[in-house]
Amino acid sequence: MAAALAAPLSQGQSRTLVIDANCQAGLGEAMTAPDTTRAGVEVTLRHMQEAAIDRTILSAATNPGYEKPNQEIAEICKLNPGKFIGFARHDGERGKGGIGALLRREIETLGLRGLRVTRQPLRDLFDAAADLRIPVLYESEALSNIHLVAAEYPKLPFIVTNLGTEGREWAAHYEAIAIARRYPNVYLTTSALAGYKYFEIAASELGAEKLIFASDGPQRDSRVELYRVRLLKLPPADEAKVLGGNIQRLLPGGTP
Amino acid sequence: MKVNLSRRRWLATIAAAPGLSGQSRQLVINAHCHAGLGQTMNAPYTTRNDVDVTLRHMEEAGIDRTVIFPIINPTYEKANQEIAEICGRYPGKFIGFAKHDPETEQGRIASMLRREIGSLGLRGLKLHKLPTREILDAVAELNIPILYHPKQVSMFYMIAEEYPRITFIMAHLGSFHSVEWAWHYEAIAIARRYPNVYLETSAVIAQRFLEMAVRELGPDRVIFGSDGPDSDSRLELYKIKLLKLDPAGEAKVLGGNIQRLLPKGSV
Repeated sequence: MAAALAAPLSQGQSRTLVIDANCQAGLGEAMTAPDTTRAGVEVTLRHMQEAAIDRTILSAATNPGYEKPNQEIAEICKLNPGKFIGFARHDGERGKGGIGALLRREIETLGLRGLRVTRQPLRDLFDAAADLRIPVLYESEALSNIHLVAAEYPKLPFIVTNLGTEGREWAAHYEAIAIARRYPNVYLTTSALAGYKYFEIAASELGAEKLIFASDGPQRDSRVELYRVRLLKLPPADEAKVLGGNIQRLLPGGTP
Repeated sequence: MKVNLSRRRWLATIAAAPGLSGQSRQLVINAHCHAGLGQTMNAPYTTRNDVDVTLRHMEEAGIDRTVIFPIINPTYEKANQEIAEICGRYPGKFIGFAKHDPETEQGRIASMLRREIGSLGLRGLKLHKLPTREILDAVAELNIPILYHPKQVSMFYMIAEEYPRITFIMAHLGSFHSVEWAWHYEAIAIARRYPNVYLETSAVIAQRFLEMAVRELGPDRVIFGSDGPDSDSRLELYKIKLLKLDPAGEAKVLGGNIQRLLPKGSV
């Protein structure tokens, strides 16, 4: 399936698609910061073209609730065929009572292909994700939560964003690497503020199979984040895994 | 596009000889990098910054010179000595800056700085804490630039105004990792208000603020730095390339501006 979906090169060779596994899009309600105001799709498209990124996984900008923003993500995907893969977003803190049923509807009727969860881990959400066999992009409030959810749902792929922290908590990178080593169903995205060495450690200790390229754009620049992966100078087959092969394998049915 | 490294090295050796090829090339200078050991080992940036990593990244990225200074220490006399020794060990690679703490070294800074600039060959001052008059009077006397990572960008309203002849280089466009994204706007406004304030580019995550700075201030006021070696200078240089400045503008940001602001003979 993956080979059939790969974009052929002019010489008749196929290559793995480059997929940015985490980017935001759409409007936010509470305009208190750039990432709660607007995540422009135009910037993402422009950077994709410049950096030769084939697909981008989009989820909603930060909002008080996500039913309407998730519909907006589905619309954006439809308006830009072959560019985006939509994920539903939900906030574990606020999304209580019926959130699992909402996620099922979003995956089954809106064409969304995964879940992005922020804040607390809710069983209702992960039960639904496990039934739907979709991957989970997970920005937990506490990295230690991953120990619990990864063990409770061993068949659910958890993709921990930003190598474990979006801040400068350097020790969290080490912790994330240790967690990813312990749980076969935990992966780490590469978008992070990390110093060069945490990427090198992650690549050498976990292997290319556990790292997934993502930008966390458009606040962060996907061209820069892609270059960050290239600087690892992985062998071509490993680089292809990080840049798209790994996430493609985790998506239900391969990439559109 | 890959550049043959041996050709780049060859180019670097003739860069300082104008007229040899008819044109001299502006050196690429990383204006912000740490080196040496820290005393209190409670974070990577208080423990060790490896010069070998900096040298390797310089070679890979085609960076000709790097400004280096100590990481966080309780006091800096010994650490500044170490910087001078590193510069001596690698001729033509590093430009050393001193670092001082206005609180822990109060009363001794002027005499230390005079020795560090006059005898050790250091060329500027790095600060993490708000400089006192004791520091700024000494800096003005020695005519060296200051690279300052402020806890609050608004401090520049006082120090840049009180000391208009001192060159202040504001690290990280005002906010490390763009955590306080609004401070990038304020940094640009401050640089517009005070001609003696420049903005350094390291560890700015929101690329659009780098674009805004060069667009609104012009390339003369923006200075390339990496905050290495932890922050990857190869990546930081790439961010400047992504600005797609015209060659003259890019040359200023990548080295021309800092070279102009350093004391003669620094580069």
